[in-house]
Amino acid sequence: MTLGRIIFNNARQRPLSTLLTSLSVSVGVALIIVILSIRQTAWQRFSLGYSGFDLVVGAKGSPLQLVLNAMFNLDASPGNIPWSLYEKLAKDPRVKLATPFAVGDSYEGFRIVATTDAYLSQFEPRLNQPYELENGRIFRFSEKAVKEAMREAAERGKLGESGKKNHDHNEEHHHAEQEACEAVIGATVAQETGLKVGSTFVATHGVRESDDAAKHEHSPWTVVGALKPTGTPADRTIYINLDSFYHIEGHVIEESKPLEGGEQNPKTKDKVALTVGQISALGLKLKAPFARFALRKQINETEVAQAAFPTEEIRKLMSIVGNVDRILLAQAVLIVFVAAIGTSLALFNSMNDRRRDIAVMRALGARRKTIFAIVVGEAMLISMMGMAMGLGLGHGTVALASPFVEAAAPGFSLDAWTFQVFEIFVFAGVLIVGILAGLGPGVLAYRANVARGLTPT
Amino acid sequence: MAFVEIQNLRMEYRQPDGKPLTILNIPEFRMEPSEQLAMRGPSGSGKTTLLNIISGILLPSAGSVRFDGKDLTQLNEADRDIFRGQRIGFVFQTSNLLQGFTAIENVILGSLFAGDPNEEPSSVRARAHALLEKTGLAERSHHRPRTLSAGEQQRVAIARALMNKPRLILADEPTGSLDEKNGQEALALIQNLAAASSAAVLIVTHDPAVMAEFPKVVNLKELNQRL
Repeated sequence: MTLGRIIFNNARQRPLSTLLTSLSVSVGVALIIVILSIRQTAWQRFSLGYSGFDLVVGAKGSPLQLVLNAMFNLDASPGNIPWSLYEKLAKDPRVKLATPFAVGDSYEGFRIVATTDAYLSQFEPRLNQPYELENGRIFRFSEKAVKEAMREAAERGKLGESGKKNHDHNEEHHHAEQEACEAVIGATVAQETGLKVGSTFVATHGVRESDDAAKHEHSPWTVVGALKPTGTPADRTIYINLDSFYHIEGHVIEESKPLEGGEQNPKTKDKVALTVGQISALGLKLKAPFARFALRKQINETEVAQAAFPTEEIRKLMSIVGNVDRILLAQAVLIVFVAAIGTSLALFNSMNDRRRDIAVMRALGARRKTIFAIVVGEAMLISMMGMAMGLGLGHGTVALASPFVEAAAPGFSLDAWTFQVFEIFVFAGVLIVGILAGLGPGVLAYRANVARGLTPT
Repeated sequence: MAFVEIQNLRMEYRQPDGKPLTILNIPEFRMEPSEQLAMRGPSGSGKTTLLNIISGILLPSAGSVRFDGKDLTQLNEADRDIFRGQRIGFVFQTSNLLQGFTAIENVILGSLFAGDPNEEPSSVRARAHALLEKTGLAERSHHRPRTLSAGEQQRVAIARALMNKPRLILADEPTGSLDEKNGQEALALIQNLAAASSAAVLIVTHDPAVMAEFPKVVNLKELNQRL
């Protein structure tokens, strides 16, 4: 038999008190685990999402909204920028690669992002880990096809309602000939929709599923490739070739805008009607990262666009979120402390019952410090039980909340069952709090009068 | 030199009015090795206090208490704890078993605090089991105290007192809470097991039947010369 056994037996002797005090500790621990898990996942997800981009260019407005929409498929697009800006920046000697994005459609709740093949072949969703295909290939893309599609879209705009039917027929014909509507799907999309290479699908206008949402019935896409899981928002994204985006009827305003125009469409909830010759955003990778400051300044001085540093915007977002979760965290830590006080009180209350046991142990040769260690050990045991229950409760809560979080913020999936480094610190913290909770009762036990304790009552 | 030797022992308590109250004033008291001695005295005569002083739980206000050649009053508390754990076995009026522990765990407790740290746990357990066997409780070694009768509990307490092979067994009214039959059995166990291990026994009692079982009875009232 060991001291550990004595501690365990003592705790077991008062099962209700032990269970309730452990439970109160577990509530605090669970809250800490939930808050820190969400924060950790948020940091990981957001830091992974912008890997590879030095600058994001989009319509004037909130730079955070731009970054969230372009990089993480969250929120609504702040508006559009002219295609000409893409052409201009792609030729800029400081730019290594420019990738245009057009957004505004979805399929079964998964957002569709129109882009170039370069995005899938040259950008890295994780550092030094480019996209990999599970099967199939990346869609075909050419700038020539994009320009042709834009011209056709402009003509469609000029035809207006009267020429719509004729145009529809022409458009179908055009698709059949060029087979331009190709898509590459993320791993989660494949898993949840059942789409696979060779499947076709019809997109919905807008990024939220609703019964009355317009469907692009005449523009079915064919899945030509499926990506391997990346753990980033890309897993929940359908990538299509940019030219196919302009084949879609709804992506043309009735009154055509000039190709070089810089006007923005008014934002309407989730839906962004893309003007001919315009794109939603641009991702830029620069030859030398320090050039980003000058380039951002230059772009921000124009009337048509703004440039944002993804890292800076995410840091700003996390600092705002950080303030909130610091408050929540403080509350959770407070709960642990209150629970520790409860543990301490429970031990204090049991001291009268233990008076005889302590005296007997002392009569059998136990030293004062041994008795002290037994009582403090019991407080530590209660705290550790609370920690173990709190870990289960916390991770379980994260697992239960994960689908809701993912539904609210697509691509933001919580990793419930991965052990995080911070949990070591939570463990150490709870252990210290447990020791502190045991100190008072421990001192009382240390000072117990043996002769009085042995006196029959 | 005697096995237990008390010289000029005085135990005083401070009363609420600040005046000292003398509980014990014993000029001399001796016990020889393996001696079995009963001490009688009325309630409040200081019997339990004397046992606590002999075991080193309490320090006297004055005088010396020599045990096996060592003056307990000169040892610090931690050393007295170890000394007590290794050389003295306690049997109380009630068994004072720890309720959260099985019978055999209660017996082992003593060796945990003051036993040989080099002894293998299996050996400790075997000795505890052997002691329970001697007290007729081997079959119930894994029972908790509440499932044992008062007599059985006291027999477990006797086994516990003998666990560290003590040189002296101090028994404070060990039959006080037992019926006659169980009381006699408990007493016989203490005497026989102590004799078998050459341990001395000092029992305090006011029960004439218990006193009758001992070759020597000391009256604390005569020994204690209160001022």
